[in-house]
Amino acid sequence: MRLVAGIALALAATLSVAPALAQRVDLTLEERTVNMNGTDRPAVTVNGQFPGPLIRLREGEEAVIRVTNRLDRSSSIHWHGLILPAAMDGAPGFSPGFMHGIGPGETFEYRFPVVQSGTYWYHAHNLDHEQRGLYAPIVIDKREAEPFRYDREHVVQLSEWTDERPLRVLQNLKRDPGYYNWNRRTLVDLIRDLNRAPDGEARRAIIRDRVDWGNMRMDPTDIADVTGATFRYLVNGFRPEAPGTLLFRPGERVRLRLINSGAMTYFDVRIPGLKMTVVQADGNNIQPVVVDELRVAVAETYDVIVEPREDRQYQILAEPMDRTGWARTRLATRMDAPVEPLPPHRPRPVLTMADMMMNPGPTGLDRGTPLPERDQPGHVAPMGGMDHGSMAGMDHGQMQGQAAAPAGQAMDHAAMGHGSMNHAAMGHGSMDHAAMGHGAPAQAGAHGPGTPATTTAGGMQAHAGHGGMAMSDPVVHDTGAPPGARVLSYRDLRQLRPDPESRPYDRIIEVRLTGNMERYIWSMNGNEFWRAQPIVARLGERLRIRFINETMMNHPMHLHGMWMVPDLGNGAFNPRKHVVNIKPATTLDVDVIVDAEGDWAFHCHLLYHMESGMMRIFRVARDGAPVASAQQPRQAVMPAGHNH
Amino acid sequence: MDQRPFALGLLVAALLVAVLETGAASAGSAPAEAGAPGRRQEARRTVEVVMRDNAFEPASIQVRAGETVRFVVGNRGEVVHEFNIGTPAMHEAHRREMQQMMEHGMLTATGMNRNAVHGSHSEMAHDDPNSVLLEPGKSGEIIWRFPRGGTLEFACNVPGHSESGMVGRISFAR
Amino acid sequence: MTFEMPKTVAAGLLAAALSSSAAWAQAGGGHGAHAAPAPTAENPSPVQGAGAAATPSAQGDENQARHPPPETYGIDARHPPLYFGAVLFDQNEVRSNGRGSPIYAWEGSGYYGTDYHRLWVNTRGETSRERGGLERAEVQVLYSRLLGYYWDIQAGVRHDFRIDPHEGTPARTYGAFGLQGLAPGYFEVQLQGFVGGDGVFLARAAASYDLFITNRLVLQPEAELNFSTGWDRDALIAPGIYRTEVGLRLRYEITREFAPYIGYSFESFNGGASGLNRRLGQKPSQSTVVAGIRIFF
Repeated sequence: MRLVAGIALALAATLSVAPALAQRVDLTLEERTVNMNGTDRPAVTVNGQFPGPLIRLREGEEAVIRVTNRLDRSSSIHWHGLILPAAMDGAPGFSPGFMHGIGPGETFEYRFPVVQSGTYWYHAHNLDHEQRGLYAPIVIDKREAEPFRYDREHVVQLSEWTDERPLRVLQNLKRDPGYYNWNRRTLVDLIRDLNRAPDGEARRAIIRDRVDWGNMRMDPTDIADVTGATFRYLVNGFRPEAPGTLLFRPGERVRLRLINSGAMTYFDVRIPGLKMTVVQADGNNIQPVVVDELRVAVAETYDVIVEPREDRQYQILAEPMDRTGWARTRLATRMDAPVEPLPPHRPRPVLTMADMMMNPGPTGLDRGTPLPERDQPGHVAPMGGMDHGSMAGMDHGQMQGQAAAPAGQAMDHAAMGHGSMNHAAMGHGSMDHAAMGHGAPAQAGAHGPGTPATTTAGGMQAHAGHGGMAMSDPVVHDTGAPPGARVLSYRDLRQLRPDPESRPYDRIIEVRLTGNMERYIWSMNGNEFWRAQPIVARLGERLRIRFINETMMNHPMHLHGMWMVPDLGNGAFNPRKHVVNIKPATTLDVDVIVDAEGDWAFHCHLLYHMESGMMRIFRVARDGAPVASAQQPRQAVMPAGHNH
Repeated sequence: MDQRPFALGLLVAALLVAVLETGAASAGSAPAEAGAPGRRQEARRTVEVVMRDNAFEPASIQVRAGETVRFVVGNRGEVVHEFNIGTPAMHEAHRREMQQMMEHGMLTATGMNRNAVHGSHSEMAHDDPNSVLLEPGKSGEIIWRFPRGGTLEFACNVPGHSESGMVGRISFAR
Repeated sequence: MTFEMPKTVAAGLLAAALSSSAAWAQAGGGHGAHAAPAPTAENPSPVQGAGAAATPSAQGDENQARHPPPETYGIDARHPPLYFGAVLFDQNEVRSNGRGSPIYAWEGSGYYGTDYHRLWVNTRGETSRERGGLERAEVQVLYSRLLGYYWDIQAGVRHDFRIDPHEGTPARTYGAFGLQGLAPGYFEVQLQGFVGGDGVFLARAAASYDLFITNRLVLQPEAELNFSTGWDRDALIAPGIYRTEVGLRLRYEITREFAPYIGYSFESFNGGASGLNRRLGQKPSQSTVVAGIRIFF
């Protein structure tokens, strides 16, 4: 009797766990010619399409995707942002059983339960194939109703195309990191600026600024490594001169699924005449935010809802951060609507000394590696050039100290707000979560010296200028938007519901984003991938990664297989993301919910940075399990004594 | 240092006044455009409205010209929602106020922050007769006498909610 | 100066440098190029029998043939460091002093290797105004290693070719070492020392700067000083600063690869070296107008 009950139970359990249906998809990878700029070039297509075909899945079902490689070299498909078993992740060299990817002529069957919903994408996990077109959207329909309504949806997939071989582009960058930058500051600019300067003091400041940058041997115009000099920016594979058309009927609510599938390009997206209501970030529902513009970092996705009411054309403009081109598509009521002219470019940003004002927070924390690591030569810029006139004698320590006070204030204030929030009647514990979220930074103090609160985005709200010099806010983007326009910041991202996994972190490790602008070397903690050790996390822990960006570039950091939760001061409402952008010279704390065993890729999603070595194995082991494996590069097993 | 709470208090007070005035104004102008608070004994019909996270059930409501309806509204979501009857312009104005309340911490994702509005006024902060603001799990009611016609919507004006679809049409049966 | 470095030592040094570079590459690649480690034993596929079974087995070396890696390796853990190279002919020009036939002169460098270790070749030379053939030609073969963010340290050999048995300079081979990089202010700097020849120690310091007038129009001033500790009369070398070179070139970068330019160059033998030159019937200093094409690929 008991046995029967047991069997019945087991059966019931199986039934409830096993996905009901299987979605079957067949994909074939093939090289085909495309002609973007008047020359036939070899693209990598999926089922003959460039970019690849959209895959539509349903939450709760099982996905069965067979990928056949008809290329002459090994390839792979990685399901970006999907939570799945490590063996199905599609990262050659990481995913067990997938060490070489999919060889020519071979078929690999991916099979995984679909446990989430939202907008994602898939792509080859190597620079060459991805840059040449092996990327496409994934849309997963939610099992229950979405927490928002729309009448129509469109995918807006942003990307770039280059006629050059991606390997050649990388070599060009290695030979000359400014190879694609045709917007350096020139003598002509200097004369113009001096002429415009109102007085002698301003002119001296201009000269001083030039001298400072020269002394630092850094280029303030280095906004993007690869620019419109070689890239054509695309939306859904269409060039801006011949944009695609997304149909709507006036009065409809249109969901746009924005995906940045660019290899290197940050896009500033706006739709003149329409407000965008952001309802999802990286596939996860957020409390809707109405914005005028948003910056989409490489590999991020955002879902926005727009309500075009008029019977006219609305341009969806995506301007690369360095303003060297356009990506655009349009919402229109008919396919044959005439193509409207593009607006003039926004001013091109230049880095300022504030962007260089490194706020490292307390460094020298645990790196999560089995052995201590030492920076390779040339990975950290000598910052001697930073102590000069424009800083007016403010040394870094002082800056930090000054920033600490108001940040602390902000924290107190926030804590007060939450603490006094009397939600006794609500009785669902959201207040507890919020309180925990705020408790976390305080705990950080116990882990390391200094005041981590100064460095987290959550504490930066009241950072405003000190002595006219503010450190750059780690999550606010200056898109050049007109005054009054609202630009999305990470701080606006709040989960729709309090995160059930929200709790204080168990451990904090430091991930410095390092590199050499002159050599085009990119690394994490001063070691390129092939000489680095894995970062080891324990299954079940909540691991806080303190990202410290020591470079001048933005880095969209991507972790496979698990969610990252940036600490934005939103407590239990901090969003779950698969890509977290780390702005130049800033620090951001990001918690990882370590719930997936195996080896996972952890890297900068700028593909040329990844290819140059900005990547690690993120190894999740059960407590007590040995962490070393055959995969560990030999060099990493160096004799101890490299302690610092 | 000490000025901060004071300044915040002032700001809050100013916003409150703004909210109350608009509330009064909209209530005042309601008979002409959106209707007016109704009396319980006049309400012949009760409509149950369920608010989930960023959706209404039902998605649209039909009323008769001049009818008084009792709405029983329940928030079954996990964040704060509002049921508000008005013209699109009234909603638009109210949305801006709610946005400001949110930005200044008076309104959080899960409810009114009573301390931020200094207790005594908190209950008044959102008691326009044409709307009810409900924390998760709460319910409330509105008795509303509709005009003879016009363009009316019911909406949740918590920032982002109506924009993402938490808005419905009120149509007049002939 | 007993600081002599026989050719064999220099050659040995270079060989060692090259082989260490190769050895490093191997080590850096973890397990050599593509001899793949087996999938980690502690991470078996949680979806047993499904995808894992359909997976082409990823074991052993035969996979190398079956799985030619993509041109770029992506996140392949067996990724070896990227090997790449470049060639820059900064000076590739015709020089004229307004009298007689113009001469051709070049100064270029090239390298191949990784971010850290490179085989580096420098070359320079010019034709003779009188005879038409080569007058001077120098080749350096160096091992170059990244020292810090902006600097490479280099060591190897320099060979000055013997041009003409009667009038030109004789062949000389030196051991060479140097430092090359970017100094504060964005100055390209090269400092080199040479030992060998006739037992003299030579030093060379060169610096240049790219002044961007526009993004394509670039004015490049450059200067070079040559210093010696002793006499090498046949090679026209005298103690002290024996030769200086100053130039100013204005180039237009049609592409990064191809930039025509015009400019001015002043070369001068100084001190005792000017006398050595006069004895050969040559003017110790020369001002020339130059025109050429800068090549970078």
